[in-house]
Amino acid sequence: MEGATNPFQDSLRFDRRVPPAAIVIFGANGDLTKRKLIPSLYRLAFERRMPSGCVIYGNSRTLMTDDDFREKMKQSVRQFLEDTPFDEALWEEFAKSLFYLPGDLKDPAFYQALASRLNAHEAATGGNILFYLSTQPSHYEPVVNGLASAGLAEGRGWRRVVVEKPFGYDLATARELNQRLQAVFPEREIYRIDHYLGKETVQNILAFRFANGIFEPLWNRRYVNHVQITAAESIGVEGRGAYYQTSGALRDMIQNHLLQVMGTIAMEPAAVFEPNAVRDERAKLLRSVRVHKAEDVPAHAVAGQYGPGRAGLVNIPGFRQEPGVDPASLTDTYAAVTFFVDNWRWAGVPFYIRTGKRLPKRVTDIAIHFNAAPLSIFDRDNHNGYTMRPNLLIIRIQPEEGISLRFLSKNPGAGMRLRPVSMDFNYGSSFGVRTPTAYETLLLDAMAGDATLYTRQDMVEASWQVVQPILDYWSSRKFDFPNYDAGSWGPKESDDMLARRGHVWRVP
Amino acid sequence: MPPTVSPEAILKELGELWVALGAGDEAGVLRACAMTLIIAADEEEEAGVLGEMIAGIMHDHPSRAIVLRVRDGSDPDIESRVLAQCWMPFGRRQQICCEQIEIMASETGLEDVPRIVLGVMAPDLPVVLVCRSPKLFCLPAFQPLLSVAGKVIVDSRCASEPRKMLARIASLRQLGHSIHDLAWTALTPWREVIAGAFDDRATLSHLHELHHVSIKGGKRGPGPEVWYLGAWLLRGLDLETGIELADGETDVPVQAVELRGEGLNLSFFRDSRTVIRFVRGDVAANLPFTVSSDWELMREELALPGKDSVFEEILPRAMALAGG
Ligand SMILES: NC(=O)c1ccc[n+]([C@@H]2O[C@H](COP(=O)([O-])OP(=O)(O)OC[C@H]3O[C@@H](n4cnc5c(N)ncnc54)[C@H](OP(=O)(O)O)[C@@H]3O)[C@@H](O)[C@H]2O)c1
Repeated sequence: MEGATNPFQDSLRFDRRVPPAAIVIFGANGDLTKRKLIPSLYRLAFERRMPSGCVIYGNSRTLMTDDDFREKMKQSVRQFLEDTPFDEALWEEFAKSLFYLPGDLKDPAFYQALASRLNAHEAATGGNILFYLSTQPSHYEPVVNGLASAGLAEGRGWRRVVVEKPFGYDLATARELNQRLQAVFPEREIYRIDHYLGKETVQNILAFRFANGIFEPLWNRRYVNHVQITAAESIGVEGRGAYYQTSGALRDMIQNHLLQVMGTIAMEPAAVFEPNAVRDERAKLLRSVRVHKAEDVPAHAVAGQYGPGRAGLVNIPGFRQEPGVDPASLTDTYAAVTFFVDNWRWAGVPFYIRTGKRLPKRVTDIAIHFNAAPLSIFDRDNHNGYTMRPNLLIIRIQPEEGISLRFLSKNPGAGMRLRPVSMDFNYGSSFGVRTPTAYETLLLDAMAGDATLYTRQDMVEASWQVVQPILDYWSSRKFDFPNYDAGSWGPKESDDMLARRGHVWRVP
Repeated sequence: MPPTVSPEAILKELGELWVALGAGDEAGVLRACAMTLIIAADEEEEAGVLGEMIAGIMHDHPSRAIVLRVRDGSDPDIESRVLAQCWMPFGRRQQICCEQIEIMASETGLEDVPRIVLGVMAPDLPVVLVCRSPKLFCLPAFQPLLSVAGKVIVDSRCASEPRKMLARIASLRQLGHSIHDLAWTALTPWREVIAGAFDDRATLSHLHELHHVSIKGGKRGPGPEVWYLGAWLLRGLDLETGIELADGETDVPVQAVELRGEGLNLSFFRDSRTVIRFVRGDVAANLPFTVSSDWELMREELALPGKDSVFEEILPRAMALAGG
């Protein structure tokens, strides 16, 4: 019966089936596990999307029994589960598949112990194992080597490894990390997670562009004037200052998430909706992004760091006053870059990307600014200055997912006075059903072997390639930080960067 | 005798309603509409229950709802009114509103209703008709309304003569109407649990040895859910006979399913609202299960615009099991 299909499956009505597997989480005592991974797995079980037979193993050094771990995870699920009721009976069942194996990732004996524990579940899991590296990147290499020497990197069933960001610290370390991972796991089994790609609205960009006939003809240099991508956070570093000062806004957000979003906005349509076909197009786009020469960096990239400010009635410390941060730190808490895509579709169209901490609000969106109408026939009568406002298409990623199209309309009454109006599509209100979180989508995809929303080695390296000259230039400079107040929209130099091309940042 | 309401009058009232809604709220309201949803119900059906169901559906499938209430008798008068269903999504500042048109007619007045409905449907959007009343569904005067909808949803679970209802569904499907039954929709969680058991390769390899199906239904005897489930199991196991349908002790429409064969016995018992107890040989597990409310079933059905080929295939078998 090898290869026989299940005649009871009904793809119209049932959720996609994924094969049972063992999920091994390294770093299970950490923040990511309790905030995201276990709540997402529980949520999948709640929705009956976890196949029966799955087991979840957590590891870190802290000594805990299976029951201790279950209790700790129960508290986390209660605390971090978003918009889902906690079901005691279901938890009891879910908890039976949760196990904990303490051990140091540098200890070879740990991997042997893990292998024998996982072997015991092989009948139920079919030997499939998903290794989730939710640890510091310095552990990635010892872990994959440990897995290899214990014979866990291959066997009956599939073996996959999910790697959290950061994928390297720069281009050289990213390449090195890729080589180390690929020495043990083939590239097709390496799942580099970029939770932005798992967001429903980012996936919706593909549907919006490639399932509708009316936008694609406009999606090029003839009609698009420029593109603005904003990812603003109102919070500061929230106690993670020590980590953050080794990273910065360009590394933490632009190199990975926002370049992937830009890839999704600007890529060519894939011939088929299959993981490698989609990833090929995204990778191709990233390779077409112009790599700035060192001398061009100052005109195309702006670094910022927030100083003290006020939000409402509260005083906010500057970055250098945050705990754990060097009082002379030169880390960028704000970064804005002008990118160009050197291909036929986009030649000459600026893509402005900005991200920062302590900006006025939390918002992520993409604004496509179209060229203005070629001739403004209403100018003679119109004194309100709106005539020349170009059309704007805004794709909102968070917090209120949706799409808006801004266009001009006649003001009611006598005379031809115009004003901008907005046509809104609201994702949440049009499909009131709860959308899965990025981690739910991505975990299930990894178990199903669908890497469409994961980044590939060539994509990671291409995006490092475009930010590397900026990193190099910035590391050689002594910035006069801070250069923006907490609660403002960033440094003046960033506005100047756009003004040189006659553009202004919109206020999202 | 001509009807007392016209589509133009209803649309004018709707326009005024929107102006009033927008004026009362500084942030304005968001008008949402993805389909025309016609809901036909007897006058006796409680307005509160109906309203709650419509509100539940609106969040996922914002629509222009046309609620048709049909009363007994031969009074030719048709009345109408318009209202809005509004809600404030969590954390937002702008209300979302959907429009609702209520049309009240007698059974005799029904023949004028399709013309009014045609005039007030939202243009260019799909039309779905939900018929809550099996009695209405079987009335000849109701049939023209079926033709305006791309999809018709009925519920044989509330029919006093479910066999007849299945026969009517089958005959209308043959005439080209896309009729769907919530009794079938309600089985999705059961079917998913059973299908899940066969995702296991060892179990799947014994599938062809299974030759007996038994289903325990509710205490009032097997109903549409049991017939549909039985038909679906026979289809999956490629069996023509070998099925036993028994009465249960409670009102739960499907209480247990057993599949028996030489090398394998599988049993599924509904333990509670959220758990199915699954036993295979000496292995037992509690599998998560959900019971859906009427509007959740409707939500599942409304999310599937295309045809359901599995339902199409099992409907004749289900009728055979029902003995109709
Ligand atoms: N936190 C987030 O929201 C977030 C967001 C995006 C990406 N990430 C990435 O996700 C990964 C995990 O994040 P995290 O914040 O959860 O990490 P973390 O707290 O730094 O590390 C996770 C756990 O690893 C364990 N650990 C440390 N050294 C170990 C060793 N030698 N052997 C075994 N276990 C060891 C520690 O527990 P014990 O002390 O018990 O050993 C620690 O709690 C990181 O790569 C991070 O960059 C995190």
